[in-house]
Amino acid sequence: MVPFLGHGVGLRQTHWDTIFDAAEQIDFVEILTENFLGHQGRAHRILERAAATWPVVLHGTALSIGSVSPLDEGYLEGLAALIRATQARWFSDHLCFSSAFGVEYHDLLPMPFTREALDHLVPRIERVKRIAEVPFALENPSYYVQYAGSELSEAAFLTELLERADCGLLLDVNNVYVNSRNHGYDPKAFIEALPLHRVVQIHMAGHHDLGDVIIDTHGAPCVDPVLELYTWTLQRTGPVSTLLEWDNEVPSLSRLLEENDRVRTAASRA
Amino acid sequence: MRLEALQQQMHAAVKDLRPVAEVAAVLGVDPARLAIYRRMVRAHVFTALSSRLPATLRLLGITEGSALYEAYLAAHPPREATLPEAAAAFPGFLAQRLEAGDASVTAFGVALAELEWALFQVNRDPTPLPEWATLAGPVLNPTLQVMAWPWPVGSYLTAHNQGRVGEVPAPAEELVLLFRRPASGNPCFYVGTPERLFVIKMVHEGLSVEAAARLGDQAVAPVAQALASAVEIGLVLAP
Repeated sequence: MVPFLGHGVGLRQTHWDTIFDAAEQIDFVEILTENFLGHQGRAHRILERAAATWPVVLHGTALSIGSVSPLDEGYLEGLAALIRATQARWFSDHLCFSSAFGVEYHDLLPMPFTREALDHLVPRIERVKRIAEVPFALENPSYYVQYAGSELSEAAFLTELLERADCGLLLDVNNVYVNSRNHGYDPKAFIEALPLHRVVQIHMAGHHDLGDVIIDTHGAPCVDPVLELYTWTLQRTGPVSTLLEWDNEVPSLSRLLEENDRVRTAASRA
Repeated sequence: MRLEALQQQMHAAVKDLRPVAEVAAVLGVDPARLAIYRRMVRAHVFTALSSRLPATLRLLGITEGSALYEAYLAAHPPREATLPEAAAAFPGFLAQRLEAGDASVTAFGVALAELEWALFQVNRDPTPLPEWATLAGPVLNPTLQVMAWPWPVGSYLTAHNQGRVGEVPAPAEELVLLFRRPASGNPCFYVGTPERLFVIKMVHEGLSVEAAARLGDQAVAPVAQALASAVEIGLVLAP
């Protein structure tokens, strides 16, 4: 069990000068691991202050849990140090590969939903879990391609993975919506098929609808169908710590907090 | 398809080692959708460059489609998890291109890239800034770095940041002072004017304003003013 932390926002550099003045309007902050990994100077000071002000959770993009290349032990050491420094309640990353063959993509490339991928992922998740005493959660990422060779549905793959690795789920409701639109499935049926007792945290975000495809940009307000899906999800999970992601075209802090209030309101309807 | 083979295919697509359409056919995926990944992976490196070296990119006319950017992507694939590090090799890359006779790169552009990257490095300087209460007298900002270029890059970047972009200046030695502001921790830079360099020497040697004025054969008031100005910008920390 993880504590319910309320409604949080990402600690983004754009808001470093103003966010501490709004401390009471924010329940917790999520720190992007790579923004602070090994950083000194001002970033280090901001991190210390954030940890003294709010509960902190860590979220990464570069763990590359699905890569065929070995886990980066240096990255894991830095991650463990960051968990200790912030007393993070939990840490998370994405079900994807973001690097391979010595190259970082800085993007989340999708995994095939195969038995081989499951067997590959489980021991790697177990290794990552050992770096800290706090829970580790994997996020369902948005993805734009479906490999022809996948043997399982996404929900069946995720469920088996989380159960076998005894791992938490960071349920990104926007990603579920984006994927359901891009790949033509029922988002509610997808969520119902997941092991919801493993949900540690929820992500909410905006996206850009290009007509033939929706891109998960984290650069816009949440659309109403995503807010409705969120309310529907909470009716099945109970209260879950929820974080609003806004990483591109980052708005003013007041606008961000306004959007976070929309998410709170959607939660209150559950 | 085995996992490793699949990832090799994806790697080839996003790193432009094979045409997207060819990889898409092998993986059984929509080529237009696969192309999204190729675009995003390439765009991230450009984001790293444009956020850390904006003046350099503007000066050299480097865009996402430019030959210089393509060459950088090919020569320096990102190796670090942190995105800004994808720009780390760019000043050195420009210097190599200049040496190799690439007409699209100038010596001034190389110097400007070095300054912009150095400024980012100051941001990550682990040196702690002392608490005001512990100061007995004026001290130099411990994060101060004094860097020299054979071009007035500091003056140029100052003008650029103020929205005034002029002609590339003629070669001239210039010292640039880089440090983190004590209050905000933000990195900043100033041109090493004679007044600022005088204050640095004065504070470094522990001289009083009066003693420094005598030594420099100057009136006390302008020296005191220079010190006050240095304190105001955070170059010197004073109780």
